[in-house]
Amino acid sequence: MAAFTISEGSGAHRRLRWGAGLLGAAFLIVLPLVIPSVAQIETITQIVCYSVAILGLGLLVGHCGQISIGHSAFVGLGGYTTIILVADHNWPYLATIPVSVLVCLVAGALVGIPALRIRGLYLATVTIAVAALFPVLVNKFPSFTGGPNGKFANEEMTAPDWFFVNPYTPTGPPTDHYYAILVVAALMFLIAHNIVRSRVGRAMHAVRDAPLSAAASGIPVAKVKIFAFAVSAAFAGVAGSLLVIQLPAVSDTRFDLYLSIFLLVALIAGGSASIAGAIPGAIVFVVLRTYIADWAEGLDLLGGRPDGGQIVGILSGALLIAFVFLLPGGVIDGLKALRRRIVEIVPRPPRDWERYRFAGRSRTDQPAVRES
Amino acid sequence: MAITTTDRPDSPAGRRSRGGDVLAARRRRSAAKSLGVVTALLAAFSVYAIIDGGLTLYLQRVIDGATNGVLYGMVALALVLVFKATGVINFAQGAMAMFGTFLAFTAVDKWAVPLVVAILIGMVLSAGAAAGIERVLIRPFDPSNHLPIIIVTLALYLALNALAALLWGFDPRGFPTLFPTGSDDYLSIGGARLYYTKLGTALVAVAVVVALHLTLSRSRLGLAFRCVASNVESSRLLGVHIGRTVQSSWAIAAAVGTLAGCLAAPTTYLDPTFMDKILIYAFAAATLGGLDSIAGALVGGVVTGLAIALLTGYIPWLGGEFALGCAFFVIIAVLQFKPSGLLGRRTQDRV
Repeated sequence: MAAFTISEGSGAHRRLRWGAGLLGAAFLIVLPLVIPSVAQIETITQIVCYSVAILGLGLLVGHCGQISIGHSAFVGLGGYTTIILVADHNWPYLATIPVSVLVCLVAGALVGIPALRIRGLYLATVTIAVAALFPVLVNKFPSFTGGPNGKFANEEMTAPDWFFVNPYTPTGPPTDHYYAILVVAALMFLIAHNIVRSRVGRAMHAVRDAPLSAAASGIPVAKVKIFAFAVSAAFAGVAGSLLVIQLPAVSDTRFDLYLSIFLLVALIAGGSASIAGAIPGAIVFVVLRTYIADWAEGLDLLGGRPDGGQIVGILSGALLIAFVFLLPGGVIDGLKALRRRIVEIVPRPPRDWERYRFAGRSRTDQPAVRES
Repeated sequence: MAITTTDRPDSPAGRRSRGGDVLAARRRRSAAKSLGVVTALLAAFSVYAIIDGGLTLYLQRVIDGATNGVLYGMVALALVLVFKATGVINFAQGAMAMFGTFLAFTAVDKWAVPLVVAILIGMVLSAGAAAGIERVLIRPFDPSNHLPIIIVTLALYLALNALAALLWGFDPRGFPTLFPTGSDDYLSIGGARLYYTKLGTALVAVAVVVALHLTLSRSRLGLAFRCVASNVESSRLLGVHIGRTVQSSWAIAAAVGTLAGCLAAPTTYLDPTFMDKILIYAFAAATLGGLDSIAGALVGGVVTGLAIALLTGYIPWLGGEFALGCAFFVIIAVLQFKPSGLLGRRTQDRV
């Protein structure tokens, strides 16, 4: 039982939300200033970048009930858009993000229209082909993409002079990147939050939960699914651009099918139907792909073959199955359950609920509220 | 979204049989029409190809494409078997086939059993493993909720690939073949060479498809498959054991997949990723043939194989590595123009 009970929308609830938000923001702003090591700042920056990709995938999988195994291609598309514009056309880094969004929206719609027009799991088959095709396409156009050699930008993104971080320390440039990426990511989280709460967000939930009933109540199911997929691809594209801001180098092997599957692992682990779930998801993603991979690389398994890195694949598969079985809501669901032990937030009754009260009975207690 | 209700007995009793016949005839006409379109497209391209590169080269490419396509069709068949019983695409099908092939390879390599026996061992082991996987990892989920099941199959893909890489490493290995492989073991057709390995592979694949088609259209198990696929609740009420039916579909699919893997491995070499591309071609084949049609899987496989061989062979800009792109375009084109595939049925729902 919760120690405190507060009702949604009350002063205490508002103060709690603002307090938690400000505390989180302060934590994220101070974080790079107290970390002495460049590598750790870069790791945290990567977590922020991938959280945007996972957020986009969550809009599609968690909120619209469609599954994509091709998000690596869209992350790659965004990344290549940024690096090509920066390296070949001298664009400023941040100005390339809207272009990435546009490119990925169009690409997402082009892939989504044939696959989502009809019911069924066709999006998954199409997107797995997209994920496998992307590295091939990259190598097909080496004059644009650098082919198998990858592509690099000569200059990193630099902060304007008035910015408070001193760029002439070792941790200066990565900290600049971190702040730029953090601002963009925060904006993306805000956009995702608003999409989910909007009319189209509710339509996405309806399509996920009961496609036939959604169609019967006048929701254009195919359009909503295509919208969700295109927006989700655009989020992945932004994540790709951010990854290039963090490290201005791309290669075809960075955006393979495994990236897509690991994004899904991270999404499920973090919590697919929750905006905030993208953050623990991204932490799981980076920990699996860097720390555990490094640790496993050194393991000596089965008579000296240096294939210990494969442990990561087995672990991730096991983790995915464990989450689907034991905690389908992901880490964020576990955290919410923990919070509920301390603070119970009673949802606000729906507006005008008295009008819809069952006539003929005078009930003074609150109406049944939706399950959280 | 179109909501059609074919396959439903019409309410006046007299119309029942006629309604069924009309629908069946419409389905046959539709299948014939789309097969005609595909044949016409292939024929038109063939004319260009023969003019462009001569008859011998053309025949060689057709033979290569068709024999590869038969293998894609076999993997597509495995996908179709699971899809028919569960409505779910098993993304781990390729990884399971790869694992089974490695088991067969180990049997040949370590225990020196004859190849036929080794392949049978691989098929039986993978069928057993698939039955176990179905029981432990798939059955606990609500069969009508596909998302968690797909995620489990992706987890299996990840874990099986990693496990195989851990156990056997990434070095490509040669896999023995069932058929004579000498440099002059071939039939000559108009100057093109049809090697006995390819011919044998194709014959085995066709035999498997025919056998499965007959089994599933004539036996109680096949009836149970179709029953479960069309309506889980009603099948349960009729006393069909849902779990066991789905389990046997997983087992048969895994055995077919392993056989396809063992037949493909001599030409592609054996390593933990060797089925990945084939799986995507098989997706194209299954989509083209219709995800719920066993014969369609084979037809789709052959057409996909032909399309890949001809397009990458005669359009120099595409090049050999663009086979994946061809598969992608096959999937997109089918979804755009005939979503139910060449021989598949349109799906229906009742509100």
